[in-house]
Amino acid sequence: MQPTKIAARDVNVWYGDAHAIKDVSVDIADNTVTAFIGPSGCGKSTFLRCLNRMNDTIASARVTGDILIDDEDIYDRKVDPVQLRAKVGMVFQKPNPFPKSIYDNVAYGPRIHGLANGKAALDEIVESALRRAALWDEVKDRLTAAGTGLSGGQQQRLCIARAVATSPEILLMDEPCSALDPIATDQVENLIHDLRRNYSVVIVTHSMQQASRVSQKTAYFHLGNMVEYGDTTDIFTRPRDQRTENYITGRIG
Amino acid sequence: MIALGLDTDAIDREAAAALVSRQAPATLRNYVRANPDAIGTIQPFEFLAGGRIDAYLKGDVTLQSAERDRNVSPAQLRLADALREAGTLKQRFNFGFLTDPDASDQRPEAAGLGVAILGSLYMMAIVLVLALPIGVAASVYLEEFAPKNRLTDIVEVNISNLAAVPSIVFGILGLAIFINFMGLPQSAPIVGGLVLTLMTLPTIIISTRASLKSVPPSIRDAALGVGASRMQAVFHHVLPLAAPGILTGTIIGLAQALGETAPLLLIGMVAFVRDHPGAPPEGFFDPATALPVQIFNWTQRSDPAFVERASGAIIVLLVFLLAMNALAIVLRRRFERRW
Ligand SMILES: Nc1ncnc2c1ncn2[C@@H]1O[C@H](COP(=O)(O)OP(=O)(O)OP(=O)(O)O)[C@@H](O)[C@H]1O
Ligand SMILES: [Mg+2]
Repeated sequence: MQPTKIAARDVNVWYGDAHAIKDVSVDIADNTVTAFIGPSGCGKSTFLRCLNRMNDTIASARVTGDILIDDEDIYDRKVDPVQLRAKVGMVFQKPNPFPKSIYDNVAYGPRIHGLANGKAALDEIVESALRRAALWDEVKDRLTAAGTGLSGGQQQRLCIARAVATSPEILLMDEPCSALDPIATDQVENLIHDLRRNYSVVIVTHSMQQASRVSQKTAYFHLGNMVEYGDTTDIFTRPRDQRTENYITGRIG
Repeated sequence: MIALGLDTDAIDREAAAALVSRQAPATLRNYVRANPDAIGTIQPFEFLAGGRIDAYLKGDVTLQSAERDRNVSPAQLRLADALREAGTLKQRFNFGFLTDPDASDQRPEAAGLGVAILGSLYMMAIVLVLALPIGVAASVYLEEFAPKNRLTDIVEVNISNLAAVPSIVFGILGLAIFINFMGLPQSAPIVGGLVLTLMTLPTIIISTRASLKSVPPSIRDAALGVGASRMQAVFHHVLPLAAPGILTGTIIGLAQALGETAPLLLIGMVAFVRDHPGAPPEGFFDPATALPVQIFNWTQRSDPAFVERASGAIIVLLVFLLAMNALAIVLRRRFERRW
């Protein structure tokens, strides 16, 4: 059993009057891949965004409860969300590369955090991030081309590379493979396996197969509630809740 | 003229001398004062033709109309013809129109746009230097950082309202605050520039906010997601993407300011100014006029030759506006390297 990296206690999220997350408590372990599954609109992305305080940017969103990372309350007034987000990287549900070159997309994070001293070191970070995101071979000859000129799947991997480049301790991935073919999906899943050695990874996915392939823990969300959370093998073989069973057997969702 | 072998009997000396601009004696006097040795020698000079002669060469004055005109006689026109035959009287573009200061009612041919162009350029410089940074800073604050509450709502509504305030009101404001209260000089580009800055700010703020709004939120999320601060997200990503729109708004605002007349009348920029303003920054405090005000002024003069001056000035103003729009397009292309 790995030590707890993220501990959420009675987290509630409202968008205005809409109650999007209801009393969610969960312990997310270090060096573990945790999958969030559930039907569309059940609050997976919302909860994920609580973990790096990206909900702060949505004016109507209100978060209550405690979220502790390394035993520190990230919603504490002392915590700088900017520092937090450097530590908790995120891959967004919709690929959102900067309208800059491929190189600059990946180099941006390391640049602002001063992770590389010198061009050579930066080049190295960019290359290794692109390799880990399984994109290097496709773009190595056109690093100065526009990131937004890539295909949807390539953009998704570019965003993964961008998130990996800052070496976060926790990586939040919101459907990182939704636009990828099986080969690229396989490569991203290998990346997730690699990352697990050093990081804690939380992945939102609509693919049961993917959840069972990459994750050790799975949480099932339903209408803002976290219905079930446990070992991935247990969730997929012996779900305790009827709603979970319906979902994974394809009767809803 | 005798030397040219022309028949001078038909016209007396005074009338013959009146063929050239009334500016000529002054020019000659100044030359002699500066070069006393030149007395008794023969020096070539180039003078402007008088306003009526000028109009005759352009076909606006005819021998028939001269019969009824107190300012010119058919004899003078015939002499002008003769001089033209002899090659002494020539038609060419008068560059002095672009560089010389205004001239009095009696010398329309000598009136130029020099002071007005300088005044307008000075004011544009002031507007650009003040309105662009203030406008962009205000928009960035309102759009990206300000909390959304009653106070910012009120500020927002007021900015939109300011854009609709008649420009003459800004002139009264400038007169009251900059001249009467702060004691800045009348007719000075600094005051005009400040008034036009106030007028241009709402335009710049509105267009800047619109272009900031049009930057997709996902770009901000992307920047924040890799741990950029809000400042970094704005300055590294949002502003560069909004730059084309900001530039367009600024240049539209500047173009409006360039053509603005009413507020400048109120702060005394309609005065008759014979001396070019000095070099900036001191020159900002020297009296000057502005292009649109000069046009307005010339259309009020009685001598018909000023109609031509005013038309010329309008063309100059339009050329300036076209040039600014062309610049806007070029700059936008340059910045709009959308990936
Ligand atoms: N910015 C927002 N403002 C208001 N409501 C929102 C916002 N984002 C999400 N919601 C609402 O919150 C609920 C949860 O949305 P969320 O995006 O977390 O779902 P999800 O589980 O990620 O769905 P999907 O699988 O389709 O991505 C939905 O009902 C949605 O309409
Ligand atoms: Mg989602």
